[in-house]
Amino acid sequence: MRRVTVIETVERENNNTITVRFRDDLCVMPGQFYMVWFPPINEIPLSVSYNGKLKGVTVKGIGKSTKKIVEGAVGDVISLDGPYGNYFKPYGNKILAIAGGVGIASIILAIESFHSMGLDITTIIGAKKYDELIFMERANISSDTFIVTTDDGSYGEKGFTVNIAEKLIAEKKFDSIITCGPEIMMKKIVDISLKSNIKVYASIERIMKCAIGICDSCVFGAYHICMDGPIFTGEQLKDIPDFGKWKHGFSGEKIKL
Amino acid sequence: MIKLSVEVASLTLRNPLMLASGVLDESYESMKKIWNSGAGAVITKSIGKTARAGYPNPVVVNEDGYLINAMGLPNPGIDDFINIIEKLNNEKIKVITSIFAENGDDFSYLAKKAEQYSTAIELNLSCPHAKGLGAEIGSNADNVYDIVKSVKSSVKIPVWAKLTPNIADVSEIGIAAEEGGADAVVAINTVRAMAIDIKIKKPVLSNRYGGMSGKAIKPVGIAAVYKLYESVKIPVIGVGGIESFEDVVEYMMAGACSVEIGTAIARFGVNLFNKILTELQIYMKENEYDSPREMVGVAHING
Ligand SMILES: Cc1cc2nc3c(=O)[nH]c(=O)nc-3n(C[C@H](O)[C@H](O)[C@H](O)COP(=O)(O)O)c2cc1C
Repeated sequence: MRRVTVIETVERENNNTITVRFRDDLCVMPGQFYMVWFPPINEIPLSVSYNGKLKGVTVKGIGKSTKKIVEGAVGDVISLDGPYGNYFKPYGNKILAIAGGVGIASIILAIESFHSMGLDITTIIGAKKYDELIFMERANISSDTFIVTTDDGSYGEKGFTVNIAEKLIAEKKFDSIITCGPEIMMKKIVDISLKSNIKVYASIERIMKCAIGICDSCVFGAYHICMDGPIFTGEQLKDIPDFGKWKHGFSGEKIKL
Repeated sequence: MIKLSVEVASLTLRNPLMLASGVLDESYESMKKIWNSGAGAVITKSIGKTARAGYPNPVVVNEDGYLINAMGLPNPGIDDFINIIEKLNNEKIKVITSIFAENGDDFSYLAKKAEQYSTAIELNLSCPHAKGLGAEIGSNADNVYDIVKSVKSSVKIPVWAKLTPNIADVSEIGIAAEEGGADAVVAINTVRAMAIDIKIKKPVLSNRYGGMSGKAIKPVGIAAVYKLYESVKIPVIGVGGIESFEDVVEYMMAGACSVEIGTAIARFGVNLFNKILTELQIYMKENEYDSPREMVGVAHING
C-alpha cells in the first residue's frame, strides 16, 4: 500500500550522497527496499539503510533524478511503497560482508543484525577514494574484523575489495558471504565463492519501474529483481548469463555493464 | 474427449489462453517462461520503429481489484526486438507481435519487419495514454480502416486489431477493422483512468492519465465483446480482468473465441495459465462441452 510520510531529517553522507529519514511503522528486513516517490521528481527503488521507527534510505546522485534529489530538490513529504523483496538471512556463524561504494547502504542492516545475533562478522568496505566511503562508523562498530580499501589509497588499504576478499577467503573459513556493490565486483566475489564452495548472497540492481512484477523492466535471466530478488544466491547467479555482463536500459535495450 | 485447442480465423492455438500485450513480455526469458507455463500464445509488448524509454516513475497505481498503468510504451525498437522474436520463433513458440505507430505506413513497415518470425500481428489501436498513438488514432473509424487495410496489404500472416473501450460504440471501430480486412478483433485495452494522492495533491502517475486493468474492468470487456460478437463476423478475442476459469467462460459466452490475460499473471504468477486450463477442463467435462468453440456466444439470444 502506498502511503505518504513526512521527511524528518536529511543527512549528508558526502558531497553526492544523502540519507533521508522518515517515520514508517512497517517491519523491514535487512536488504529489502522501498519504492520511494520524491514528488515531483521520480520514484526509485531504495534499499532501507536505517531500521526502527525512524527508517532511512540513502541516495547517491548518479542519474538525472537522483542528482536532483541529492541537490535537495525534495519536498517535505515522500510516498513509500513496500517494503519489497527478499532479505539477507545469516548462513553459518562466520560471515564475510563485502561492500563497494554506496552498496554498503544495502547491507549495513544485515551486518548490524548479524552482529547483534552474536555472529562473527568480517566487513570489507571499498570505494574509489576516501570521500566516497560512507557508513564507516556503523560498519566498524558491528564488525569483528573491519577493513577499508580505496582504489587510490587515500584511506585504508590501497586496492580493491576483491583482492582483500580473495586473500581472506583463502585464510579464514567463512560460512557465507554477503555482498553489494558494482556488479563487476560482485561477479568476481561470486566466482571466488563458488570456487571455494562458500554460500554467497548478492544484492542486484536493475532499472525498476512497476516493482510488482508486471512490466518486465527489471528482468534478470528468468527472474525479476522486484519479485525474486533483490538478493540472489551464487547457485542462481551462476546460471544467469546477464550477471556481470548485461543490463537493460529504460527502453528494454541491452547495455553492456 | 475434451480438446482445448481453438481456432482464431486461420490460426490454431493449443489452448484459448494468451498472454496480453505489455505484461512480462519485453524479454526473451519472460516470454519463454510464460509459454512454458502453458499459454497458448504470447503477445509481445507493443513495439515501435525506434527505441522509446517510456514515462518516468510512478508508472503504476496498484489497488485492490484494479491497476492503473502509464508505462508509456517503452520498447527497444523493432530492429533490436526482432532478435527476441526470432529466438522465440526458432523454438516453435507462438509469438504474436504487437506493434504501434502513428499511421498506416509505419504500422505496415513494422508488420513487414516482424512477419517472418511472428504467428500474427496485433495492432495496438488502443493504448489510452500515448500522444498521437494508440487510442488517439484508434478511436476514429476511418483511421482504423486505413491502418488495417494498409497492414493487410503488406503481410500475409493474420492481423488482429486491438480496440479501445474509451469510446461510445466499440462496434463502429470493430466494423471498420473488419472492413479493412482484419482477421480478428481484440477487446479491450485498458480503460482511461487517473488517481490523485490527496496528501501530495497531485496525480500519482507521472503521465497523470493511465489505463486501468484488472478484475474491475471485466464487465467493461464483457460488454464490448458481446457487442462486437453481434456486429462483426470475424473472431473476437476477449481481454480485460480475467483471473479465473469462470471469467474465461464468461468471455466465451459473450462471444470470445479465445482470451488474453495480463494483470492477473503478475498478481497470481505464471502458474495461473495451468490452473485455469485444469479448471476449464473440469468445467467443460461437467457441462459436456468437447471444445471451447461450443461455448462461444451462447449468451446471445440467437446464440
Ligand atoms: C503494465 C501494462 C502494460 C500494458 N502495455 C500494453 C501494450 O504495450 N500494448 C497493448 O496493446 N496493451 C497493453 N496493455 C493492456 C493489456 O494488454 C490488456 O489489454 C489490459 O491490461 C486488460 O487486460 P487485464 O485486465 O488482463 O490486464 C498493458 C497493460 C498493463 C497492465
